[in-house]
Amino acid sequence: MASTEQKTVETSCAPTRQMLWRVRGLRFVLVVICFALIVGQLINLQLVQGEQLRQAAVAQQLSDITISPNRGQIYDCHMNLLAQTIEVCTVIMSPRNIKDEQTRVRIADEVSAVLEIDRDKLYQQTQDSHSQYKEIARRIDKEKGDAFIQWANENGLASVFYVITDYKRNYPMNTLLSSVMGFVNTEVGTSGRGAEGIEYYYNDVLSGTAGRLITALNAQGDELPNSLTYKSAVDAKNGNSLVLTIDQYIQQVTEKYLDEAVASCAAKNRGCAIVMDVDTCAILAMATSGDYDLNHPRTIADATAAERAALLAGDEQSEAVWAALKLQWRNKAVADYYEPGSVFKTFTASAALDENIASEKSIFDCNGYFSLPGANKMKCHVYPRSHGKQTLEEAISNSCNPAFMQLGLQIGADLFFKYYTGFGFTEKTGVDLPGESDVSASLYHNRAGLTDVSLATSAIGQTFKVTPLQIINAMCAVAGDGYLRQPYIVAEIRDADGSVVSETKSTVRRQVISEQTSERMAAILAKAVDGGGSKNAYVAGYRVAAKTGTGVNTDQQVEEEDKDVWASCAAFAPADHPQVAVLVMVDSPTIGQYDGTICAPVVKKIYEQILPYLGVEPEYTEAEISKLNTTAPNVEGKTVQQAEKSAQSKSLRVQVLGKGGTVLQQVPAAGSSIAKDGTLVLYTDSDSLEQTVAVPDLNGKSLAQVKKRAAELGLNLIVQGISTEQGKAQAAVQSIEAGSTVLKGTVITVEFVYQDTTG
Amino acid sequence: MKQAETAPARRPDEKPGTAGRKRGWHLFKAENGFDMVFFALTMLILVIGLVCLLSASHAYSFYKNDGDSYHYIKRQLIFALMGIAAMVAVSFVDYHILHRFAIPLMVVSWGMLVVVRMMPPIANVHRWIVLGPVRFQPSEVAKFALVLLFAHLISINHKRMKSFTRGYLPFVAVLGFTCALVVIEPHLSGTILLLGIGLVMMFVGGTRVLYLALSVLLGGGLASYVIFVMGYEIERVEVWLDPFAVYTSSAAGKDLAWQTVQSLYAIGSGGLLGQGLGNSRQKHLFLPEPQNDFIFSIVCEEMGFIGALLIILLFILLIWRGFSIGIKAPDKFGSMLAIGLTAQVGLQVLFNLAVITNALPNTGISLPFFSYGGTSLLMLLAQIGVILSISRQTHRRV
Repeated sequence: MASTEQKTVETSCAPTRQMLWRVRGLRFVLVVICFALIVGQLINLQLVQGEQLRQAAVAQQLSDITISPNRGQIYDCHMNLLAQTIEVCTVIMSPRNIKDEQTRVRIADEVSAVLEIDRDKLYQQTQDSHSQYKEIARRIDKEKGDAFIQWANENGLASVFYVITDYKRNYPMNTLLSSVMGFVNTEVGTSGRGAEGIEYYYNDVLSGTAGRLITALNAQGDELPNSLTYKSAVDAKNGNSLVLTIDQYIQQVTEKYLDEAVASCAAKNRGCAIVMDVDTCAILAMATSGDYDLNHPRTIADATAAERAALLAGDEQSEAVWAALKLQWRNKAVADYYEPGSVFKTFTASAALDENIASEKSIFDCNGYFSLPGANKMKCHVYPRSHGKQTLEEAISNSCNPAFMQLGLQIGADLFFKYYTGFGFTEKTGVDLPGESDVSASLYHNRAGLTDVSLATSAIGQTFKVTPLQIINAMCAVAGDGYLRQPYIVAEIRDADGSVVSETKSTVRRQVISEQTSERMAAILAKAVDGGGSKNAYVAGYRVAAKTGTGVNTDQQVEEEDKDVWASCAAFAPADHPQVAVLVMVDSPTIGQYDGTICAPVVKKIYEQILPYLGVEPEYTEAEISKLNTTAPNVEGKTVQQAEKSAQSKSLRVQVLGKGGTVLQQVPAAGSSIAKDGTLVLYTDSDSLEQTVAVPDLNGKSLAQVKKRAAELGLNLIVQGISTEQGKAQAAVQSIEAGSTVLKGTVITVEFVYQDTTG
Repeated sequence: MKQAETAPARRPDEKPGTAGRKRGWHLFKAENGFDMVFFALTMLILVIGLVCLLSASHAYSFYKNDGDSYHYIKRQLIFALMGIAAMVAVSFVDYHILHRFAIPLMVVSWGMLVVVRMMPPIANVHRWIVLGPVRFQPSEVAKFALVLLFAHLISINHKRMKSFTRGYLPFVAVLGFTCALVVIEPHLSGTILLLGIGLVMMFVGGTRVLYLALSVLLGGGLASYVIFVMGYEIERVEVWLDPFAVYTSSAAGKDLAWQTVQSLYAIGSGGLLGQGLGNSRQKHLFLPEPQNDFIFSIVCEEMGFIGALLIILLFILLIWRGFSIGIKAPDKFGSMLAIGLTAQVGLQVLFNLAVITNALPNTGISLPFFSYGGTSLLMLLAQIGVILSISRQTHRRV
């Protein structure tokens, strides 16, 4: 009984069948299904997405510091520094290491004051509490950065702030060569990337190879302890330096005179100038007016454009700013197309001589215009007058349009196009500068497009477009030995130690004309300067060969006389053994009508400065020698007799003022320039020193008038800018301002410009 | 000859009906010995867990405890040793005496849950009672108390389990009250665990499935309402749905999703074979609390998919075996006790793994045998001891 009862109790105590089935079912569900879910999730995370997640994890675990290489320097051909990279520092804040809100507020208040930055922005940055990297001050001076870090250390903020070495591109010459140099877009901690110009074109050479320092870090940015330390470093390789063909002095001279000319003729679309070595086609200077400060490339240099942009707002303003910046960065000499006008007659004549179609003495008849069937009368620039019968030489001097149209037709379309392509006008020059675009076929007449009319107009340099660089490049072929070469601006690449890595050799593209033809052309063009249409390019003592030109902007849909023009002058010197070619182009001048009065004087001024600088010996003609200046002897304190004697030895005339026996003062002063036929004025007493004259306004006066006035007033005159006394030269610039009071005998230098030159 | 004699001793299941009745210290014998497989699995998992804790915590410990890399593992080791001792000791105690403690322990744990609300908060929550060097969570006690009380009630009430008033209401009342006390700590994960354990025990104990299903539907609906309509903890759900989107959205989002994303980074970094034991990089302060709830992320990073899979398999075997002990238990009380305690371990493992793999939203559930926490480990091992004690009697069933 008892045992039965016990049995019953035990049986009833045992888990029921239902319990057992339920627990088996539950076990199955829990274990199999649920864990299958987890394993499935692990498969997805570890095997499917594993690599992706691992990379994301590695990205946060490793600090990959780029070790910035130093960007190479840029020098001119005499190793004058034009561009360099200097070290500055950028201050970084690690908000993660800021302890509490109180410290955040303190940082915002104090640090913004110390670094002179915006407090609210800084406070905002402190809020990103996971970040270890917030730039709070960019590119500040190294001393300022060091001082700040010291301040941070002293104020218990050492773990929050650090500075990283940063770089800044510096151009010691500021605006010099700006349109050619380009600039560098800098990113923090790197020495940047070239934008525009040489900096852009040679970016890979200049920038070097970045190094890397990869370190495994914990989440606080500290290195891991011993066993897990991971460091891998690749050294940075500093960038190479460039030595340009540019000559700083020539560049300065070129920029100065170009800017003056562009300002004085109020050109609407800037101007440019190129100076090129004839033998190699190395670019000695290249300038676009309106230089900007390379150290602040994003500041609009043109005051009127800046003002205009400042008046706008929003998108319009940013568009205007951007347009102004794009314009100031644009290298006109390489990137802009223009109609060369009569300058191109040089190449038409070269083709004719080279093909023996005409010679210097071939006769052309001009009756004021040229007409072809189915076309309007094409007038000569002297129309309704005419040049009459003239030789080819004279036709160049006269820049006679009908003569060259006839010549163009004589050459014929086939040969004309052969020389047109031969001189490189249908292709890029290949210069090592950015901005050269492929020459679009719409810019010129191809062989098929050369009808009689377009051939005639092309022969005088109209109805097609070229770049300034193409013209001077072709001019060098004419001036040199007839070979077209590739222009270049980088002479040498040197490594960080200064050893030469590579040197640019002048590259011949092809022979275009024979050497004889080029010699004959030089002689013809020299005559154009010596009293011809390019006479404003005359430089005393040097034979300059030059051709001026005016191209009319036929793209403009306005009356013929309202159309803007491109005034230009291409030249080389000395004509006997050409060394340096110069091209000056001014786009849309608004004051002064002729190319010859705008660009030729710039060419002349540039040559005056650079030919002696380049060591080209002057060879004066007899007429020039007679006009050469001499220096005044020192006669102060001597007796009048002695003074007269020493003046006579220099063949100077003498005028004695006052009653004294000794010279109290002489005008002009000892050692200063005086014309060879000038008069030395000797003041012998104090009364005589009061004999002053008022300087007259000589502007626009002819040479004879100026000479007369000077003689009347007793002023010494030095004449500049004219080779002969023929022609309608007018005084343009006088060295002493009109109305000034000066002593008798004072030297006044007057520059003359021919007003009768032609396009 | 000798081999033939010892053979039955190594194969206890061979003749269950004729098992001997010797008493005493026969730890490794079939008769009166506990379940060797369960014990061995426990010890194996514990050892692996300790090794993983050493690896996962040493970097964190180094940074947080002034260069002492072994701060956590030292304490954990001490508690593990104490826990093993407790486990073995408890396994010798006849589990039937626990009947007597069922109701008092529940009341005590409720008391502690009330007390803990009055303790100063740690990390903004009232979860721990601190007594000198000892710090423990009353909710851990409550879990055991719940299992014990439910096992007790089911064993004495088993005939009326189908009844609504006897087999459903009292359980729901106890469960509801306990959960209410835990949820106000606030301690969401503890609440979820309690609910899970309660449900499992009621289901196995014989409560009508209809009631349970309706309860689950009602609870789920309520939870959905609270989350999606009232917006409570909605951020947690957003992180769960797309942690990387929240992570990259803002600084605040980065904070919210930080732990989940770092966990996924760690798991993903492991790949098939892992970075090798000790080579986790994510434990270097990237993954918060790598020694605690998220320890298995580091395990995945160091041991890879293969290692993680092996550990999961060990857990599955342990849980399977725990349920088997429940199934073979001589009486309903033992059965329910073993099932409840096993379910507690199983659900905790499951929830933890689901959280670290972002299969479930991030709640703070630790991984048994792995996560740092001395008292918790001690209690866990003691509870394993209870299961072992039950396993000693599995062959006594008549």
